[in-house]
Amino acid sequence: MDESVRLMLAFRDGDESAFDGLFQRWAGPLLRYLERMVSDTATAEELVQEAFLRVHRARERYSPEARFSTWLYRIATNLALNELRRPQRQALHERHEHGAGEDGPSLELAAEPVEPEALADARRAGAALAARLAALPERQRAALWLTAVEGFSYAEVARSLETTEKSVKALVHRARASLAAARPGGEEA
Amino acid sequence: MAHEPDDRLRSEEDLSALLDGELDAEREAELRAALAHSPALAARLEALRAVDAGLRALPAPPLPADLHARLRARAAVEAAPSGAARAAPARRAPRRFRSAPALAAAAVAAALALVLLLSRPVDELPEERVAEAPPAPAPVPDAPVAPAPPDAAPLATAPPDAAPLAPAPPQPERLAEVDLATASDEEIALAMDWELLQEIELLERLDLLEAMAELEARGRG
Repeated sequence: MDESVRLMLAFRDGDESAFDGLFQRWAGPLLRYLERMVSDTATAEELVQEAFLRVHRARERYSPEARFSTWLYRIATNLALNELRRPQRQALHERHEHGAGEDGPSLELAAEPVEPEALADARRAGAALAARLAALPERQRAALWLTAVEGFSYAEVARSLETTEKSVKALVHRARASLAAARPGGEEA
Repeated sequence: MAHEPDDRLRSEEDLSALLDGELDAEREAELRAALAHSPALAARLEALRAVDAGLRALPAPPLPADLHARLRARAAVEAAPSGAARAAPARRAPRRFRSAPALAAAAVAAALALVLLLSRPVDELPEERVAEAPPAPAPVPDAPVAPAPPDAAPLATAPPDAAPLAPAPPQPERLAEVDLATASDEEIALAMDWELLQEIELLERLDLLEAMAELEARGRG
């Protein structure tokens, strides 16, 4: 049995320390995902708390029909998408997109201290990729992250995004192709 | 060999699906054979694979040391006896009419209001009223706790200066002065305080409709 499912079942049955175990295991990856989704660390931290609170509230109704992580990330994805749909967030996002122009975000980087060239290149590439990721449509961003980084199946991502596996396949590929085209040496789509 | 656009798209998407381990065995074998003979296709696959590697290498934000404590504190507040009320989405309990005559009057008035509302062209409605029904929020069907987004639009009440739905009675009688046993439906409706109707929220209107149905059933029975 999935270790996290075992912990969740123990928590459901009254073992409070099992909830702490789930937090220790998943809070970090969840924060990383949510930070990429909402592009703001403080908001991502709030959403991590909210996601775990919902797990806490729903413990008595939990049944292990899927991996615990699938369930947790589905909650987190819903929270992130709701957050991104808030009007003030949309205004920020639109400003970000307008600043980015038609082809994506500006890749200008802040002045950095002098450092070895290879490291500087890697930082620049990472920052550029992160900026491109942030500029993707939110569902593409979620689908690609959940698949490529978290290792979820298309079926699991489809449940998180309330869509079909075929749609997930298209979302993942569009996101991946956009990011590939923007990498050094990549062809612009 | 020339490919139709759909074929090309399918091949492109299948490259991603190959990376994700989502192809069936037959298609995977077909694609791997194509990759072996096409450096361009192989380079394309590598470009896609490099994206994944880049994403995995992105730095992760540090987990704040007090995040767990903050979460525990919030969970404790919710678990406290009064926590349930705090945690539950705020929803006002609908007002209840205390007496049968008041219920009957309200039901009839609500019915008339609905008839008047529905009989008017939409473009005659006051703008605030047309906008009153907020768009349905994005469904969260299988989230374990279906959350009302904290900023979800509350059920709108009529703004104080909204035009009434029906022509205001010139000198409405007070409801208490109307003999409900003998008054016509229209007289009862006119006696209703239209401001009260405007304050009634959607759920309460539904309550009125239920009450109407109940009265109708009683009338038949």
